[in-house]
Amino acid sequence: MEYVLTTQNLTKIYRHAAAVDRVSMHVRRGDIYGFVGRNGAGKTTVMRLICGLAGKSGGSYTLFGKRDDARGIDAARRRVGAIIEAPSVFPEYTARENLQVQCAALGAEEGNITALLEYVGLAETGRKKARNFSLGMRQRLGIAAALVGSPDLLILDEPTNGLDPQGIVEVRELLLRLNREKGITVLISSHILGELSKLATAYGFIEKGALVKEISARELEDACRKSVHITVSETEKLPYIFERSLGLTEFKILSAAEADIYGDVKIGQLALALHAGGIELLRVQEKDEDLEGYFINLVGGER
Amino acid sequence: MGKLLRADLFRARRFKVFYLLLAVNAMVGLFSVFNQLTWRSIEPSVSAYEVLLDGFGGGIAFLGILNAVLVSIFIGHEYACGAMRNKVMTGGGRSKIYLSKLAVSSAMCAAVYLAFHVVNLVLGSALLGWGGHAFSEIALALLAGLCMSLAYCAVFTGIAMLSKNTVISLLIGILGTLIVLFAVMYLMSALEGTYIIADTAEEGADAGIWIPCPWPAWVQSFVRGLLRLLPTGQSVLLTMGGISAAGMGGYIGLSCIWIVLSAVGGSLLYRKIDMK
Repeated sequence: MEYVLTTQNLTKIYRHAAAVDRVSMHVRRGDIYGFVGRNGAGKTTVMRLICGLAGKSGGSYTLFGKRDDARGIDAARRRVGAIIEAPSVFPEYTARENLQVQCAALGAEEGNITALLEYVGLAETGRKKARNFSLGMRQRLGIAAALVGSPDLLILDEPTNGLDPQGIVEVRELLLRLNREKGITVLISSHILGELSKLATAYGFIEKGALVKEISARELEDACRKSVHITVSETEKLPYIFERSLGLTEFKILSAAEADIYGDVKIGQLALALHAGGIELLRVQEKDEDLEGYFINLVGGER
Repeated sequence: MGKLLRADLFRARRFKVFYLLLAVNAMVGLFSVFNQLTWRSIEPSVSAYEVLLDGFGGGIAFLGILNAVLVSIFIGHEYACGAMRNKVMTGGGRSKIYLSKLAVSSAMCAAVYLAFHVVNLVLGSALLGWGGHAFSEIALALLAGLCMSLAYCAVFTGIAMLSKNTVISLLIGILGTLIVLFAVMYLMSALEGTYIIADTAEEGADAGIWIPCPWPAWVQSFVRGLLRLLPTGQSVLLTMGGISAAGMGGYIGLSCIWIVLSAVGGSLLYRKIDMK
């Protein structure tokens, strides 16, 4: 399993308070890694540390196999495109001129600019200055600038902030295409969980500077599935009762006294079937969690 | 670093403030030539050399203010747009970014400085002549002024790169230059001593008493050295004229100290700062 980015107990302290507290995260090649956290949780600070904008207080990170204190770290950063907080756009330049400056800084071919502008949907802007762009257009220009150096990793800090629904869809579709067509790994932070759930293949949840959990999209989907959690007197005969009496095939025996049943379950029928099988039903708990609910339960807090 | 220079030169060529200040200093040169021309009727020995001396700041550190404006806006705007952040994130290397900014800012400041003197070299030479001043003297003075301008640029580059904010670096640059100018003027007048005129002197007699500077000799030497070291001090001293070739050479060396200090010290400090 190849990781493009790992952090090992990465820490940043500002005035005796840890903005980033021993974060150890793992971003696999080809993933769209959704970095989830509330405002002020430390998402942007982690990204700034990785991008070299801020000095760390402790720990380390490894980017494309290069440690942050190694000589080759600048070369590793050249494989990264990033937007932190806001896209870097010269307002007095056109879209093409903005990309020309970026090409010059990275030593990239200017011949690719037209294709890039078409890819992000800005080919028709002509001589329009970037100061006259909408927020969505600026964001797409920022993504185009981040793509100039043909990066292998895109780091995007809340790229859909302030965008209208159409803008959000456009950015999402663009990122999915980049990931699918060009194999670019994406590290994207957001507090809009619903939007991330349509994108991410892996998640990292951060709260008060600490990484609370890393989970794949599949595991998260399982965790958020509608289910019924039951506590019973014994679980040995449960699979037989579920399959034969109730026709249920999706369930999980958790322990000698607990089990999860997925999908729609009629509680009345369940209770009768268990009683008929000589099993006492002690407790029933319904679970229907969405991503937001999962996150809030994970970090604590109210809806 | 070549790539970073290319990017900075791309911006410099499109930087409107640069062309504006180029035009301003050229106009000041034009004004200075015609100003000296009007003095010719009173003082026939006036030549293009006096215009050249005006081009070092005219005693008001004008070059310092121009350089502060140019460098602060050029570098500050890149911070405001997020492009500086972009260069760091894509592996530009902090030291290389700093040195590239220093190099391109220096080129622009040199161009603004030369705008005045090109006007004088063309128009002043034709209308005023050089009054018997040797070519070597003129060339050395021009070089000393150029190095002074680059010293200003080096200082303001350090301020702009470390402050990360256009307004802050403008304020520090302009106000700092003016404050240092006043300090230079004060120190120079203090070193010259005081001339007191006695009230009870007879009419026609020499009533003045000159009181030399009361500071110890070592303090006076230190202050004289400081005045030569500071770019604003050099600006005032060069404008006054009468400096020997060895003195000019000394000014060039002292200006180089600022350039090296900024290139080495400034880039080291820049590596340590956090960026938004």
